[in-house]
Amino acid sequence: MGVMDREVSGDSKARLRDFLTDEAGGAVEITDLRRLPGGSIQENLLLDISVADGEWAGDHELVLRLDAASSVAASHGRAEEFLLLKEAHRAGVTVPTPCLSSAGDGILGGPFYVMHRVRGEAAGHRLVKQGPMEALVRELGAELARIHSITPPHEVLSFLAVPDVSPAQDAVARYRRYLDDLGDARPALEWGLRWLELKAPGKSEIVLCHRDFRTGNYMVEDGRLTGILDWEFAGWGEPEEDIAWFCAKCWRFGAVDMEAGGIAPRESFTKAYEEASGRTIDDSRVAYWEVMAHVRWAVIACQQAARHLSGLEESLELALTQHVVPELELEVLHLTDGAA
Amino acid sequence: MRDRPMGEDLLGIIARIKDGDPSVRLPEDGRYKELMIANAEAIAARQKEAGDGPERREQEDLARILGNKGPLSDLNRALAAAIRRGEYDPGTADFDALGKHLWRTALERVRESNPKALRPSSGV
Repeated sequence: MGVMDREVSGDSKARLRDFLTDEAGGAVEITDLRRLPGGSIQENLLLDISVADGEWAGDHELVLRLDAASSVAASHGRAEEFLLLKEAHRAGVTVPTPCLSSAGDGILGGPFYVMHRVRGEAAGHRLVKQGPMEALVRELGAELARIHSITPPHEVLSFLAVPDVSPAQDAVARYRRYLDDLGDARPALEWGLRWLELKAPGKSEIVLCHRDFRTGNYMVEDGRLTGILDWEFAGWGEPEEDIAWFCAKCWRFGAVDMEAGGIAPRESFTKAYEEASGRTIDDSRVAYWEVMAHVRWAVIACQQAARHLSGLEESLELALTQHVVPELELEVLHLTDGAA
Repeated sequence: MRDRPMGEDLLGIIARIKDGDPSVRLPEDGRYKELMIANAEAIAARQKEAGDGPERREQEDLARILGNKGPLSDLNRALAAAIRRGEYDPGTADFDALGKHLWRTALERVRESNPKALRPSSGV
């Protein structure tokens, strides 16, 4: 159970202060600690500290991430996410600078980590209203290329399974398993998954995929990127999976003509990616993974609503997430030539 | 088949929110909360207006495609399993009929869940 099922208790705060003091090697005062909005899978806390002396002396604006009350299958725990964030940072990806992590339950009831807070706007519905953002989308293309420069085998990321068949076939099997676990029959998604099974491309280059690289998961300030967030789904896969997720219609926040995340034309994004990565994007693979993107988001939406239905985490937001599924199913049918 | 929680259940959640039930989690952004409540109420209203017509049509369609009768959830379960086994693959006799059925069913549900997604500009 996450500490944020309730307000941060005085005891938790005191334990956190003592932990930070040990790590910082100087007296730490917590000047602010409160829950940040958003984060249906993880809890994010705003954490401001003041360190009296030692290597970290000074004021720091931070974010602390810990597990939510319930979570979605396939998302990593905080310890793994912290390693992913560190490796991304090392590869030069623009991310909130990772600080430290705690693997045990003794401080806040579960593992957590701390990173520097980045400024800016993340909300997709607001970003897409700011008109075409060419400079931003070029930055994002280059950032994705940097993420994809991380490849297996990789000692630090050895907890990530390397696909032994094709990533596409793996994904089909995974989403079928999730549907089976949920228990409700979803014929339209099964139609999509069967199409994806029959059309699955063979294995190609394997890279680190962020797997949630989309508008809403990066921060922007004054039209420039300040940080790529939410690494909990990252894993080995093929580059086109991330490109398709970014461009999928379901992540354009209504700005459907701006195919790159609702913020710019698709070509601006793919050109920047190709220039930075030296790869040539396989458009047919991207089209394939865009079908997968809609299936995947539909399955995740069903999982989120199941968290509400289970009574473990009752929330109108989670309940409403189920109601995006019909339009995702319609898009799957549209993209797979379901009889329109 | 309608997605759960259905419109009536959404209204139940809203009633609990308005009663101050602390077990229902809410976003802190007041405007966002209002939009969510309005959205849930609109879904419930559209489902009420549509009545049981859409699910009855779906059940009749399914009985025809599958060649047997039963509760809607059982028919959908049988259909989902048959699709996964490849019994409706391209080239099979009922491929087109199934595609039409799935399209119609999804469309009916989008009319209730988010009719704005059906505007021409949405590209579907």
